[in-house]
Amino acid sequence: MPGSASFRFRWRVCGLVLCVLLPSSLLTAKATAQGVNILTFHGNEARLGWNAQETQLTPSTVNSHSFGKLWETPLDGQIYGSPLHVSDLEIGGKKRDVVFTATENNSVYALDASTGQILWGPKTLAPSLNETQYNDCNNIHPRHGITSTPVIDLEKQTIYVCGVTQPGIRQVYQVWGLDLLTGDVRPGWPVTLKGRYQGCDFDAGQLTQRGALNLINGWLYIPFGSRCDIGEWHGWIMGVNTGDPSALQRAFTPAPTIEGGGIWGSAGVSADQDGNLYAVTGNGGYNLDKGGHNVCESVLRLTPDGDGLKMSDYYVPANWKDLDAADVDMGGSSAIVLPDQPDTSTPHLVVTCGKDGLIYMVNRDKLGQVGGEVYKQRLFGDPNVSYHSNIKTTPAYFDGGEAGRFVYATGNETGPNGEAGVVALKVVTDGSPNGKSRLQTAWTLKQELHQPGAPTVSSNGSKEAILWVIESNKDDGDLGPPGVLHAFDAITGKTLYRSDEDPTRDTLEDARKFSCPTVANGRVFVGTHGIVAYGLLHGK
Amino acid sequence: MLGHQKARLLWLAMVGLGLSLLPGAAQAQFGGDHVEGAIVDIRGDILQVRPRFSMKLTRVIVDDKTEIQSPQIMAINKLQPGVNVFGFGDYDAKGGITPRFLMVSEERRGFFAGKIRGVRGTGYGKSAMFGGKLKSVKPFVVTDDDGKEITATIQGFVPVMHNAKADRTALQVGKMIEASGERTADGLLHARAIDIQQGFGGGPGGAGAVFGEVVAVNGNSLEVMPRFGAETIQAKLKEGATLLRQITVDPDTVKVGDTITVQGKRLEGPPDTNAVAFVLLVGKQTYPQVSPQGFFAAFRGAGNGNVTATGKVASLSPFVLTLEDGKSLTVVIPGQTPVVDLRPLTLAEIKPGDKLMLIGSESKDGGMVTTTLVVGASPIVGFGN
Repeated sequence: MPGSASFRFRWRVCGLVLCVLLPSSLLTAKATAQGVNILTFHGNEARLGWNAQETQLTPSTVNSHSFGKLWETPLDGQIYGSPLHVSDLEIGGKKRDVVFTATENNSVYALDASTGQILWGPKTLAPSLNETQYNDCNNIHPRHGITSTPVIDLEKQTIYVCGVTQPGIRQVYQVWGLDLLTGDVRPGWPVTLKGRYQGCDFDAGQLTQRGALNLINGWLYIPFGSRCDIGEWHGWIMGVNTGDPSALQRAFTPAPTIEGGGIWGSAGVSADQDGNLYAVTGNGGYNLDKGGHNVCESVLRLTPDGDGLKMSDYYVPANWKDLDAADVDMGGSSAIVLPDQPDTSTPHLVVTCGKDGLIYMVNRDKLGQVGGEVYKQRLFGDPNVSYHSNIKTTPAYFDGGEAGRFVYATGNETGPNGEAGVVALKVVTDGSPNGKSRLQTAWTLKQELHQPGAPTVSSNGSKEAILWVIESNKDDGDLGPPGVLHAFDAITGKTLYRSDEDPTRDTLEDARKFSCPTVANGRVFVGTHGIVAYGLLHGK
Repeated sequence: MLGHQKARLLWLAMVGLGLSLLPGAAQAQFGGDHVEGAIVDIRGDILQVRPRFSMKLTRVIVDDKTEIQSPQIMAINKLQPGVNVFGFGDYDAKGGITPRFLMVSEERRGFFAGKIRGVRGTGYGKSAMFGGKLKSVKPFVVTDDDGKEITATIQGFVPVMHNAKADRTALQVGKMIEASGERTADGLLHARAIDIQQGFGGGPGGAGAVFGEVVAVNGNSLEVMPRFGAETIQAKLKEGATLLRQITVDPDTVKVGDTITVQGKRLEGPPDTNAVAFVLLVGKQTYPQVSPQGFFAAFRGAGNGNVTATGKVASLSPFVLTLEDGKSLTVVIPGQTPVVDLRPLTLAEIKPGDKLMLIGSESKDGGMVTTTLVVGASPIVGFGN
């Protein structure tokens, strides 16, 4: 339930911890006495992408001499989601740090984080699809099973995954709950996703499930886009009650009467401390002003309402028609919910990016409807061309204390002021009497990255912060040379490490677009056709 | 003199022959990257193109700088000296050539972009190609890029395809195009130039399918707004036209033992063993098909290798039909595949607002003579506008 006591409690505990550790904000990764748990994409429900408990990997220790590949374990399929990490978990009679991942072969694995040894798996849950079954859409290649990042409920010792399969004529998306310690499917799972909104039925055969699962107040939220925009399709958010998997599912589409409204962002939906969901939707129309129900190219706030999801507010860029006409989706990026910002009249912010190359900041208290953003700024791409495919990744956030509060975005093509690859922006307040928040460029690479994934930050509190980015080097057909893991000083932008400096030792073979590394307990985990782990070589 | 239809067929055959004789030539001469295929969807500035001989969609970006050319057939005696000419024909022992068809363009791109030198045999019989700047029509003389004059012997009717400039309205779903340009970082093709290839698509004036919505019913004529169009078309029903209503069937109701008709495409492998479905029909029936240039133009092989097969469902996963002759057909079913039933319909049942597919041909007054009409047809079972 929205705003439930348990949910609020968790956020309040987080807040108390951070009152001690950090000047403001909430913890991205969840720390235990033994180490860090990364239980969901970008570390928490707000999708901040910040692990503030990293003590080993610092700007002084991460360089090509001391940092490199520790191990690589090939698995049975391609991995697009981020690995998850649980510290000090007892599996096989031994407590250890464990990495969890899922593949396009519909398989789930648990690996020892220090050695890469497979602890359990492959747990192949159902046959995956080939490209012909997948409507010959080659955005994901070559098999189609579990694309998204799973989510872990540590309290229930359960990992949830969503994959596609075809048990008969109809294709279905199913959600499984697996025992974290054994990989066994929990009773009551899998469930097949089905639902209807405003007369529109959820049709799995037209859809791609790329965005990470998010677990909010016991409900799994699962976003959907299309398969190459072919056919009659609609973007969806589906909700499954983990407490009662057989219960009626929540279903919402931002485009019930038109094609579009894909929710593509690899982070899926984000959430605030009250349990509201934030979804960014892609190409399609807008007719709320005419009494309709279509709201594409938008940032939506969705509030759980009984068996359904109610759209409680929205933001649509004023040029949404142009964005739609040129296939410049808003929804390539997910939204991140920033911690409360000080000294501003707009302390409650949501930040997202668009394929148009812009970063958008909206007030989550009042999203602004059409054209009502708090701030927007072009980061990438030439404003004089109509087509853009500049940002398709979710930004990350870091509170550096006195150094400032930062938002990081990655993208394609050089921006109007020479921005390229990565742009770091400080969250500041403008000089106006009402003191609105805005963003101010802090640093940029000035060097293009080819299809980079979402950035993520590790730090020791507000110090020793590193920004981690995977440059996939793959096009939309997933073809291209090996990827590159980059590490930058998050405050200055100085390059600390790149895996192609020593390709013999550190090569990152088949990293795919949207790939986002997971940093925990001195190691960096990347999904490829398996899991690759990087870390300090002296401890290898 | 050949009749128009025969001339067109010959022209199509020659274009096909010419292209087939030039594997990779167009790509090499265009420079950059290119894609050749059928437009299956248009959204704003983005064309979704299904390449010939491939099922992998490519998205092509069109902007105001994209040069679009649409071939028009013109008479040879209308040619003006100075235009660029490229032709295919038969060479003779003296190095002369008798062209079977000609392509002309004011600009040096596409076939005209590379260096044109003399008469070059293609390696197939006595076929050859030649080109240059037109010096005169009678006699037909061109000057190649080395300054050498080539005199061609014009015998009978020689179709001439003129690459005329066109605007974006010429880019329509179902048209075959060749687009050249640069790949964006995410693999889209940002088109510098697009040539519309009339020879392989449902070109204007021919047969084809239109998807749209009924605006009005006037006697035996329908006013229909095409799905991607801005102006209505008048569709007159031909006497005896087939009228059907498509009913979407819940796939979960199909059981082992049911009779199902599959329409789709054969996959590589033993004949009639494997296929990929475009549509599943309840019972023994056939989904109305347009000509290969229309309904199936977007698919691999542009109409070749299609399969229609009726049988009893032997297995749902994998989906296997036992055909009437006892053979088995294993069918891959993409997620977008509709399962439908087709039921007879009367004209009186058609109402404004109905979404439908029309199959027919262009009439003399520019409207459509409709031979088949399917109310409720899903665009996914046949691309077209």
